[in-house]
Amino acid sequence: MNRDNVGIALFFVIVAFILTMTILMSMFFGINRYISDRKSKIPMYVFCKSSCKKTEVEKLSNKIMEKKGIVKVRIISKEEAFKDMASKFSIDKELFGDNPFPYSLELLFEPKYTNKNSFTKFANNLKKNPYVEDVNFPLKFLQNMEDVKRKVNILGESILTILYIVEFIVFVSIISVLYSHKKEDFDTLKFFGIKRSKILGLFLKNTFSPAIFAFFASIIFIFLIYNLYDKYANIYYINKELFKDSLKTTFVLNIVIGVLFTFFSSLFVFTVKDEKV
Amino acid sequence: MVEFIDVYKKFKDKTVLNGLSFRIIPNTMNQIVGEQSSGKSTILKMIYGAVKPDRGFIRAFDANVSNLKYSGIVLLRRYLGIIFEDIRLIKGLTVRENISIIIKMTKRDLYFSEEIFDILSIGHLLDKYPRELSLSEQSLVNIVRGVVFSFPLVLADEPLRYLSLDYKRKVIELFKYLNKEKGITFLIASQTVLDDDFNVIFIGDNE
Repeated sequence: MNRDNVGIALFFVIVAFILTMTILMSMFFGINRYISDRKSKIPMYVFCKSSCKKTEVEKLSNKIMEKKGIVKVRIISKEEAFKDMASKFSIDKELFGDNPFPYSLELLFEPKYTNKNSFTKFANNLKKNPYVEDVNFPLKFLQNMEDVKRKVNILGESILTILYIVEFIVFVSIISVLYSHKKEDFDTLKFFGIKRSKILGLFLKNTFSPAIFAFFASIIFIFLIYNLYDKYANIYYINKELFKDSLKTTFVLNIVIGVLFTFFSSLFVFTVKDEKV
Repeated sequence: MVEFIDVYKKFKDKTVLNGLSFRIIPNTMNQIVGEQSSGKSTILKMIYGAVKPDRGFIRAFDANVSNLKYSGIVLLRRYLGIIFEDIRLIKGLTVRENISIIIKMTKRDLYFSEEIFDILSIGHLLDKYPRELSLSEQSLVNIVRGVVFSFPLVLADEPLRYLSLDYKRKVIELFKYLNKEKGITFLIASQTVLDDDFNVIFIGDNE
């Protein structure tokens, strides 16, 4: 591999690094946001006492709305509950003399409050309210969602960490090959009284030149990928705004990581391989 | 200008220098003559601090090279013109850049003896890259790089190895001219005596 080829290899390694990590991270964030979104749609039901009047239920609803983490409170009227239940179970309404259902409330929470602990705490507090008969929420489903989110996080973070480590090793290896090709030139310069700090500057220039081209090339590739996604692969659950946001954030993050990787691997290689000849 | 007193150097099991002593006086033409692997290059490398002696004293200008720290060696090298045996041109730079990088990277405003390009007829090579040059042309550029800034001491390791007879004569004449006109001191390592006017230090079996 001659020195120009090493530069080209470094260019493609950096482009591949930025694209792979950006797309993987975007997918990871996308899935994470989707799970959070689904979690935030898990409701909590508050059943009022049968003696409660509409004004009292509204009062309770307003009081709950003021609480931290609440996104939405919907009052379910006695009629609505009865109608809903009758249609769900195909019950003949005429069989009932009175409407047996009480007023109830459907509560929706912010994603970070949609977990077992917050729900249990919130429900226990509500149960102390004199208008509240009972509080109910899908505990099992909530636990499952939390479990899925935790597993996705662990898996995603592990994959990303391993990939970052592998990428750093690849950076060090390629830059190490680049240094080996330049070593004779650097030693020659030292024989003419050029300081090692200047040589390091020269070496950084050699590693950053392909890196800078790679950063610009990545911008073009990411732009193309985004447009392709927008045009042909707009997945319903991961909408383009979400994808665009993740892509932007992770792209900038990976450019920064790419710069840091280039700098630190160059510094590492120079420290290990450069000699005081 | 350069002094070796009782210098020893051993590489693994082979003793290369065994109590070598000599002195180089400023403004003279000097030669180290010895067979292959007799330690000629080692002597030159010791002067510019690339090889440390096992024992003994080495002086270059007013510095004790054998005890000099690396920063001091770097500084010392700025007053030396070095002609390498293995040429060592920087491949990614043109001939002109190969020569000017020495002053560019040390930020010095050095006098550039352009007449040397004419003497050795290499003016037309200045914008070419080393890969575009023949071995003898590369060798000439290596020689020019060592002498073009008129450093007070030039260390030349087998400078004539890749040159034709005609060019060998031209280069020796150039060295003599620079010594006479600019007072440059030369220390040339070679296997044979190049000129009867040179002071000769024999090493190895010829010692």
